[in-house]
Amino acid sequence: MSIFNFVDDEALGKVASVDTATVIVDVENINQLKRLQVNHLAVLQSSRPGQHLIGLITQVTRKKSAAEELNDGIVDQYAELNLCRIALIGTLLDRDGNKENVFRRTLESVPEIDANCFSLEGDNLTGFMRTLSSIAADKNSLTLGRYTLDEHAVAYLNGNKFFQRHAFIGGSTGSGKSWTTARIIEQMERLDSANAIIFDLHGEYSPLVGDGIQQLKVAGPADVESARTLDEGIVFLPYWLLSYEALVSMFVDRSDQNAPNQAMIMAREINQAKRKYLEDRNYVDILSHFTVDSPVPFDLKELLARLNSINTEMVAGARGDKQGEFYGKLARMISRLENKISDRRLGFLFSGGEDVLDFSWLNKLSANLVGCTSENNIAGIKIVDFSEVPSDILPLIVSLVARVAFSIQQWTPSELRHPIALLCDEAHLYIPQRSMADSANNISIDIFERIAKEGRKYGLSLVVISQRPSEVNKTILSQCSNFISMRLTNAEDQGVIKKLLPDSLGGFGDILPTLDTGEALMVGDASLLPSRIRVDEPANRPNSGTVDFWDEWQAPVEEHRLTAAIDNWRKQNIQ
Amino acid sequence: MNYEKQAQDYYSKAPLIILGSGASCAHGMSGMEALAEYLVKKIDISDISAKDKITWSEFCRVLESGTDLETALHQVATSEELTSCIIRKTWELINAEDLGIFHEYLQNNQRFSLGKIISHMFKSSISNINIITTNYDRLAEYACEREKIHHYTGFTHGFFRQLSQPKEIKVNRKVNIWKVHGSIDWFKSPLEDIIGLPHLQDIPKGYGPQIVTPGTQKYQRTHLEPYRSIINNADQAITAATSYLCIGYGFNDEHIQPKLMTKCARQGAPITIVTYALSDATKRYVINGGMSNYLAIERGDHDDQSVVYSSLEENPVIVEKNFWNIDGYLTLIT
Repeated sequence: MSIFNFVDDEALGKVASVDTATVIVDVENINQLKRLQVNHLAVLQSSRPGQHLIGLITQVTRKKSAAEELNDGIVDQYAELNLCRIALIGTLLDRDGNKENVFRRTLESVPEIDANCFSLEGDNLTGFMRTLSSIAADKNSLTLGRYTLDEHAVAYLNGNKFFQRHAFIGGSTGSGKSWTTARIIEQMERLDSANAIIFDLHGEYSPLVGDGIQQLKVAGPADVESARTLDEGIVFLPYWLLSYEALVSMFVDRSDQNAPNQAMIMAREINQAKRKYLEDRNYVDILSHFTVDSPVPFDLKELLARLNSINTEMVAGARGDKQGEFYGKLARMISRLENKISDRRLGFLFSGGEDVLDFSWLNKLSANLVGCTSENNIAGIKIVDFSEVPSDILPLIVSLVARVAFSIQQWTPSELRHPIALLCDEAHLYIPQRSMADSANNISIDIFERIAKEGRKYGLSLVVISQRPSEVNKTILSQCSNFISMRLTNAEDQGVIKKLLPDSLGGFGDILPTLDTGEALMVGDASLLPSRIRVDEPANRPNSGTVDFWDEWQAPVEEHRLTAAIDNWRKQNIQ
Repeated sequence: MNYEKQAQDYYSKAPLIILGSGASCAHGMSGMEALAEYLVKKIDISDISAKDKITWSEFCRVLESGTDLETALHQVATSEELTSCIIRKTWELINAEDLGIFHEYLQNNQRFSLGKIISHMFKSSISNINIITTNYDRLAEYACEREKIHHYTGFTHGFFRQLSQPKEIKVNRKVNIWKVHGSIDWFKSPLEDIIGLPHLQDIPKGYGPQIVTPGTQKYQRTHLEPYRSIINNADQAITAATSYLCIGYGFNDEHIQPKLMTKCARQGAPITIVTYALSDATKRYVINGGMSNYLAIERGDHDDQSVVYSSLEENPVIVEKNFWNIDGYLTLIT
């Protein structure tokens, strides 16, 4: 039976005017008018039995018109005009096929003038929220929390839709973004074959534990020294995995007048080095197909030697030997390369040791990064800590992981494909707007844009997490069809979210700066209604790193803290 | 076959409801057969004229030969006196049964299935629902009143009800009940006007019940008021409607048929039929008659089985659920 039990007498009023998706209701019931609140829900009777139109109250007004003196001296009472503007957002069908109480985000019929309008509260509201919730609500459905409108109603999300077409989680710092992310991760963890990579830039998610969660860390200087390996959760991302573009952006200084030559020689020599590696190990089937971008290891020392010899090459000239074509032109690139190789902070790229150069090493890495619990025997959800990656090459490294995931998905035969989600924390750092990007960022943007556009087809989903929606790449945002927005105080950032709301719901965006910590506005095809949700607390709180200044200032300071810091700085290592 | 969606779609067009004798039979009221039996048993031939006695015995013989009441009354031309006698006896039977149902309702306070549909339909912006019925009983009125919904049957309200225009009764939501064959509470007064007198045990002296029993006189009487106005109103309601819901109706009534056929067969208006058993006429007109949008549901071998005939499907489908009575139909649409 229908969940709505409205009696005509309880009507708020009747529809006075109808626009495409907004109606104005003449409120007759003054007591009800006082209780009306913007952003609460209202129900309109439709011309079709078995259907109700659902709307959102966007404005409540009460106007007094001037007293009118009638001709015989009698003053007319103050005429009141109590109006309520409602944006229509959907239809509730009592029955749709064999399903009961189905909510649809379309208007199947238009409201009629004089149709009764009811405020959705009490049992009716609970019933309605339950209806929204009960859709696809089984024990493993995705829930964020509860509706602010009705704290008894669980806000379920359609997990398929949430990941299918990418999602965005935004909110100012301290608004509960990482809580929300942690909650989503926790729920993914309960699924047997969940598969996700979380790009954790600050080690924030290290407190998240569980059978389905694996903590990985991109090797820092200390890890390189102690020769830790993948089995200990230390990830090396060797240079040979980088695409040619990425290598060039790293080693070639674009402002160098020889940059084009250097890039050309890089391509040639890397190709040569990879060929040599394959020839030495007799991988004949790969030899005929590989390209400079193929993930084939090569010896960096040999490459350096080759570059050096090109740089100092003398060729036979008409009058004895003369300097070769590229004599001295590679000098800067070579020194750049040498610098990088010796940079302790880049140990995860260059100091992986012999086993990283092994041909089968990529299999091991992918099993760890892209594998499900059953495949890597550890866990399907991988939290990758990038905290020790230098910020200038962070976009390259994050996108490298994304590219590995994308390539693997792309080269998996469709029938074998298993979906994987990439949760990109602090996305504005490595997927910024094009206009703010340097060459390292551009490579990262290219990869993420590609994933955003085509990932759906290959079962690759992005969950973009950022405190600055306005700084995140627009193309990627435009591909996200689900938005969870926490409190946003910056006007530009609010603007990004507001633009996503349908015109009729523009007013909903106004609550963005007033959301409480842990409260979110959920918009998108995973939730039937744009709704205000109070996010439940995750079982393990992420390490948000908030420092209690006032308290700390009242406590004594640790000894030797400054000398320790300086020492560590010099050693590039936290002891 | 998605007959559920079809049913919901037809229903969402706010159907005009047509009640046939099946709707009353569901409440245990007598059908034509029981009425025939009752008439044969109760009509006292000692009181009537010799000529009528012959007519009556012939009528009884025709009935015995297996002919149904309606056909039998068509075959035998009854005199005015005999007709009046038949009407009174019919009234006696139906009135008693109707009051019985009313009293039973007073005891258990249950909702009427028809009332549930009406209430549900009124959870919309519709302000008028039209019901056309061929029954003499007041079950439709009871159903409305139980749901706290005002109804209009062509009369004013109250104890002494006189003919009135539909416009005279102004309420927010109203059910018009067009009783094309009259009603057990309608009487012709000694002043020759038509009066509504509710809940009488007996016919007041000098008053004649206004119900149209089957037979040749059916057509003479329906030319007169109030039937003329009522049928006209019913016709208008049929023309105005965009969807039809027939409950226990067998497509055997010439007063409803023509306009309904125009709408459904010629203009493709959707029609839903729920009934115990589809009559031959239904099968002839609806299922094999080229109607383009129909959904007909009858009872299967047992109560929890339905046979669904749909314009979307060539062959009937058997469903192990009750969709064939009003309550069953309600589970299909709500």
